[in-house]
Amino acid sequence: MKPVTHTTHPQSASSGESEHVPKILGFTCDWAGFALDYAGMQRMSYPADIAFINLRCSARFDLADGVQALTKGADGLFFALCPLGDCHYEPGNHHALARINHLADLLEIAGLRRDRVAFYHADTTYAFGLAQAINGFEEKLKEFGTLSSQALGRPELVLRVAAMKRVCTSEPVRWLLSKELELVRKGNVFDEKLDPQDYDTMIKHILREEYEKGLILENLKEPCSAVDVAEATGIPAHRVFELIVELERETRARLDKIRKERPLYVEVVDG
Amino acid sequence: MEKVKIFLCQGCEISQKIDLEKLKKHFNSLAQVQSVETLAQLGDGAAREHLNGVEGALLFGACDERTHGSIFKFLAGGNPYQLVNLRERCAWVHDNKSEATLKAQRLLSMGLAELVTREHLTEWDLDLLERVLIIGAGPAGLACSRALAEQGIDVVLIEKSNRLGGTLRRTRTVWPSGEDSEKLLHRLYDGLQDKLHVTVYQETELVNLEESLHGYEVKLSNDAEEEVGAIVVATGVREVGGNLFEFEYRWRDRGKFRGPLAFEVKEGVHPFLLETAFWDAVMLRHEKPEERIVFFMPESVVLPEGFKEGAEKHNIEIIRGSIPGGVTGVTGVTGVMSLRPECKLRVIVKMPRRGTGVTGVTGWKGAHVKLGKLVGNLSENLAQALRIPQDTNGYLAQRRYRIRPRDVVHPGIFVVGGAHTPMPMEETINHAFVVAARIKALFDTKPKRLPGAQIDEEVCIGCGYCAAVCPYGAPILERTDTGHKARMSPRFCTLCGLCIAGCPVFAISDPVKSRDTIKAQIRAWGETS
Ligand code: SF4
Ligand code: SF4
Repeated sequence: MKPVTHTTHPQSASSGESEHVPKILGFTCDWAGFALDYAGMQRMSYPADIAFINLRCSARFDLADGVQALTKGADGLFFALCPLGDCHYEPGNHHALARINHLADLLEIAGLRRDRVAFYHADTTYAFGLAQAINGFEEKLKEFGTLSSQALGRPELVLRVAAMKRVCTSEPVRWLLSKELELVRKGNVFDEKLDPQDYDTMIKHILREEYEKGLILENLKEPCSAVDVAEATGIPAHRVFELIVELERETRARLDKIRKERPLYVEVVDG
Repeated sequence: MEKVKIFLCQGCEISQKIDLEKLKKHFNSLAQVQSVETLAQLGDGAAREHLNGVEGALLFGACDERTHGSIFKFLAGGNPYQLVNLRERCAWVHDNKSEATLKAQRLLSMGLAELVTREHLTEWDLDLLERVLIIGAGPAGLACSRALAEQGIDVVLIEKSNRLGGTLRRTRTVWPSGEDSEKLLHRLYDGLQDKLHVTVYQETELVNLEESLHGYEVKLSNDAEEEVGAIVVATGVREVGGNLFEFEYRWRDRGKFRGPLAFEVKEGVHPFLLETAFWDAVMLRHEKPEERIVFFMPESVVLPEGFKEGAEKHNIEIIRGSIPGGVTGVTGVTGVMSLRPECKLRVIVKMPRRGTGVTGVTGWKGAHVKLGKLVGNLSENLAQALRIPQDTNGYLAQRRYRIRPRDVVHPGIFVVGGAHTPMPMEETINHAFVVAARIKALFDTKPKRLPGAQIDEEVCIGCGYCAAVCPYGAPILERTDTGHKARMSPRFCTLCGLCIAGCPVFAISDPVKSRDTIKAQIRAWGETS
């Protein structure tokens, strides 16, 4: 086996001959960040291909940022946050965890591994555990291979990530995600509480539907027939029809013209 | 944006582990960068001289913000700057030089992205008014007013009732020392009214609170408007489901007591009530050696230390057992007791006979005192206006008790004494002095604050998410003609980012680390190879 050459950049290392060096983007809150500095003071080495963005609290993490990292070539996302119940902003890391979970769901829906997202609850003195967690995550990502070299091939991946991006910037989805507190914990106006598991199933269902719609819209930038969209996206044709009808109703897509007796649809871009 | 000057520290193994020359070459080639310099030890005197008078945006590649942040703030001398940690986050953890160099480049690019996309923020002077509003003239409020007035700070003391003294007015003895309440009360407010700097409003409540440049603008129920730099919440405790306070109050005022005395202890009783009642019982025993004095209490009540022995000594009975339906059958009088001799009060206590378990009826003639629960006396409205999180008993919800009791809720808002949780009188008074000292320190340090999160009202759809999740109550949902809009009180915002990342329409922005900054950082991270 060839010695590991770390100088190759992950994106160019798609040949699969040398071991992939995964590129990891980390997010850390100011407080768990101290564990990271502490790891430095203790000289605990961990892979150099992870770099962290500092946020004041992990709750500042926005799904859209996670997806953006994927478009910029991240093979994995790592979160360092305070132990549960020890967040400096009270419920902050609970919300962060929910968001991390949604990101993992989204990855899964897009046919990627949900384990590309990992987190560690790092108290200020948990430096050793944190370094180990990063090491373990890197090992796992090496096994998965870089995203660019997966069987999907790059252009298809770009499409998937673009659809994911549509999901996490969509107002209805964000609105629904923000309602968790009310629906699950406080109960709605009739004092009915949703079972957390039901909520989870519902969210997954909606994420999937939005993702599929996103994928279709990505293919409707130019007028295109439903059958062609089905071919390009791998979604069954009848489902594509259903979703296009819904998109039409939501005025996000419209009938453009009919060519060779086939209706061609196109995305509606707001003025 | 002006071009950025980069300074890289060579100390602390940074130059051994990272190829600084390579970094220099890379960053010098960027259009945004004016110069890249490496310096021996950024934190020491030489660098200070070198950086003297430098202008423009500065990017430092050196060490930890937490340990050296203030040095770099000083070095930057008012210029916008960004500190990138190349020591703990890079040189000290990565052994391979080329890898470490790549990572250092990544970190610096991200730092550069943050620096150029960030608005230059000026810290905002709070310039607090040296005037304090104290809510509640109980022991905590009185002690705090005095301590503040003695330091020359103006105090506005408001009290809901028409008498000062709070719990001290209502109880005969001080818990747990047993000292006479009246004496303590006199010590606390002797001369308070004559003191310069103290304005007392009785029968007055806080109606409205607004942030202002110099603290808070408050509106009181007597139509007075005040501007204050700090607010002290000293609303204390209130008894529910019991009448011990009333008993003590009347006893002191009306004197004589006749007939047997029943203390009915309810579940979840606070030791303060139990001990106070015990003191009363002992006192009464001296006055009336021949009367029966009985404590009825459920099995689950844990007796304070020495209670049982003391009761035996003074011939006070303790009857344990669950009383079906409680103590019932008060006839004739509104309210449950009266101590005036002319008043005939019959209390029928139904409870299982000891040993047999059969319900019997015992007739009582005399006073029936119930010991209920103590709850926080802070009304929900007031708590909401002051952004004080409350638990189910109305006390300050201390969610992070591990760090310290949170007497400071928000900059300039303090909670003292029983409003935290019932506490011994000495502690309450100590607490009041500590808070007075903190307020003085707050005024003296001339605090600065960065702006909080900002809401774009045009974009906001009034979904209410931010108002529901913010742990500090900074955004408030307001009704408008067309629906709802959120409005932010930046003073309460800690910029945790919870609402910023969750707003469905991206209406909320963080002036310190904006969405664009994070995007630019991710871009810079992705482009480094
Ligand atoms: S979360 Fe956003 S849209 Fe909802 S009320 Fe707050 S600012 Fe308005
Ligand atoms: S950033 Fe945090 S503290 Fe500020 S308003 Fe939003 S949730 Fe509240």
